Amino acid sequence: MSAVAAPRGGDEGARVVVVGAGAVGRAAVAELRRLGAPVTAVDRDPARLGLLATDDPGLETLIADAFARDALVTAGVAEARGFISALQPLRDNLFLCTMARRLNPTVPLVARIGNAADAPRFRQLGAAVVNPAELGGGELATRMVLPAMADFVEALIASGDRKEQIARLDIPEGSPLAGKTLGEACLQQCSGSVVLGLRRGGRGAFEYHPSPRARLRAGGAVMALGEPHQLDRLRTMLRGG
Amino acid sequence: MREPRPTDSTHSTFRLGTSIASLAEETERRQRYIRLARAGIMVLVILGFGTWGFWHLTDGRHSLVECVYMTVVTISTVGFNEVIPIATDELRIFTMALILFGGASVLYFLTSVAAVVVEGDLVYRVWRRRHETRLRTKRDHVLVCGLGLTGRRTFASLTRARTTAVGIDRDAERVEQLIRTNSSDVLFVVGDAFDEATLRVARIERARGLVAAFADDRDNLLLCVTARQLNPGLRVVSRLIDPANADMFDGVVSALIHPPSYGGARIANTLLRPELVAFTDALVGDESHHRHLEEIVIARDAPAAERTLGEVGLEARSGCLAVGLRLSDEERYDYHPPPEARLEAGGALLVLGSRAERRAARRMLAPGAGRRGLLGLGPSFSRQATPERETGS
Repeated sequence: MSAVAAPRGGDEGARVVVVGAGAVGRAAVAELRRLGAPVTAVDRDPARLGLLATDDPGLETLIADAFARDALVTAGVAEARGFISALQPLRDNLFLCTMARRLNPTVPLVARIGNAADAPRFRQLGAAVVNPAELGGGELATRMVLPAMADFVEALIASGDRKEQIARLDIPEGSPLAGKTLGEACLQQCSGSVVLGLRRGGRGAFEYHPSPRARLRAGGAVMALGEPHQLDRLRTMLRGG
Repeated sequence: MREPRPTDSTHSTFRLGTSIASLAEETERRQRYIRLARAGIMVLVILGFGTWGFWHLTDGRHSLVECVYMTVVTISTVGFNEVIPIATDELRIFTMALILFGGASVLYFLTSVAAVVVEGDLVYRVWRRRHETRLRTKRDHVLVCGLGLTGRRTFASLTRARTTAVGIDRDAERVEQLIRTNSSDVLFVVGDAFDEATLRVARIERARGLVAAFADDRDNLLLCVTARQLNPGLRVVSRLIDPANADMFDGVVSALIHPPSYGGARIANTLLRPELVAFTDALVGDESHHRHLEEIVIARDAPAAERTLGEVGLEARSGCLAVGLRLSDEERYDYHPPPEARLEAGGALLVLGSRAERRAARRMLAPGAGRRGLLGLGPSFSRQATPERETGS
């Protein structure tokens, strides 16, 4: 790894470190690989790591006790693109996230939790939390009540056999469309993709289904749904030229 | 057909003195106090409103005490000795409204007081009778079998989605937890979910769907097969414990969820594509009432049927985004339809938009719109009338 200086949080080619190769951890690794991110999976138990695909060059496994600081250093947390703690006990995940934050102040953290009430404990670390048990129950209900929505969401997230994708497109500084409204910019008709959301700044929440009068701002972003060539056209329009 | 009798296990848990009985009584009592407080506030508001009205409509010619007195005499429907003569039409209309609303709220208040005063075991008996009646008359509900952590979450999500859920578990303790985390109004059956009698008590033949949430694939498969036999039209969704068993549920369930895989995939997406996760959560999550995705069936004689999306100008006229289109019940959605896509009758459109925008789109796709949707009632039922799509069978 060549980069030494911070910040490296959003580096596309860098690895994601996943601690814990249980059912949840393995599913996270599989999804990360599907999305093309290289992964280092860490677990104490070689048998659990053995359940991961072994012939994948983008996947490294590390048999180590992750609670020892050296193990996380070896795994490359300091230059990682992201860190995931997918163990079961709350204290383990909190410990690992805290250690990862010490090793890398800018790395995005995601922790698995088993109880919604535990979420605030990770707030100070800036770690996102995911509760698989709750998600599973909620998904069972969604599949029952809103099957079409569940299919749509699944298609967006796991667009393996679909040609449509959803993508975030940044509006660069000096974009010819900056300052125009959505209607004036003709994003939808001219590119063929659907603009689902609009964000004014570099951070914060998207405004979903923006009105045609909403204004595009340089530094903001657009969330769009479309086929790859339509999204490319949209990207070119935003960049200018 | 004879009404099926509750199974023995159901019967014994409903006997007085059991833990469910005391818990049900306790939560029921708490709810009655809440109802009493609400009724009290209502009466006070009516009292204030009446006093203000009499004061205002007589231009302050009568004292405050007289106005309060007049209000009380009116809403209690006693009505003797009108200290304020009801001489003008405004006063008459106001007094009529006050009698109707005030009388109703006083009646509600008095029944709430009576409900709080009655003895403990009577509270329980009334609660139990109501519970059984509600269960007996239920339709279009969803049975949630297996009330572990996942089952209870499913139950809560269904309730939040305004779908009636009936919980089934053999373990009274898990049912208690369900009552504790929800309210005494939850519907449940304590009994063996694999026993057809228990499922009949939960009115499976009238149900809309069933969720199997046990922690063992054998249990879930047995339950799904049993449920399909009792009600072939039922939409069955199951939790999967071992991904290797997924193919065994083919043709039996409409959807199969392996919570760890789902959670793991979500963890990965939270890290790499947080905006996407936020977007999908906004679509189906709790805050989805604002901007929402909705499936609208295209009716045969709808004004927009058999025309293209572009011709109809659905996006421009309703403000909705058309994100998906399917030609019939059997087909999958084609996401992001082009303007040349035809709106085939019998197909469905997936639209994204606010409530008013979706209503506008519904009107364009509803049968004979403009004539029948007078009260806005007709089209609003369109989603409930959607035939359930069975992907598994």
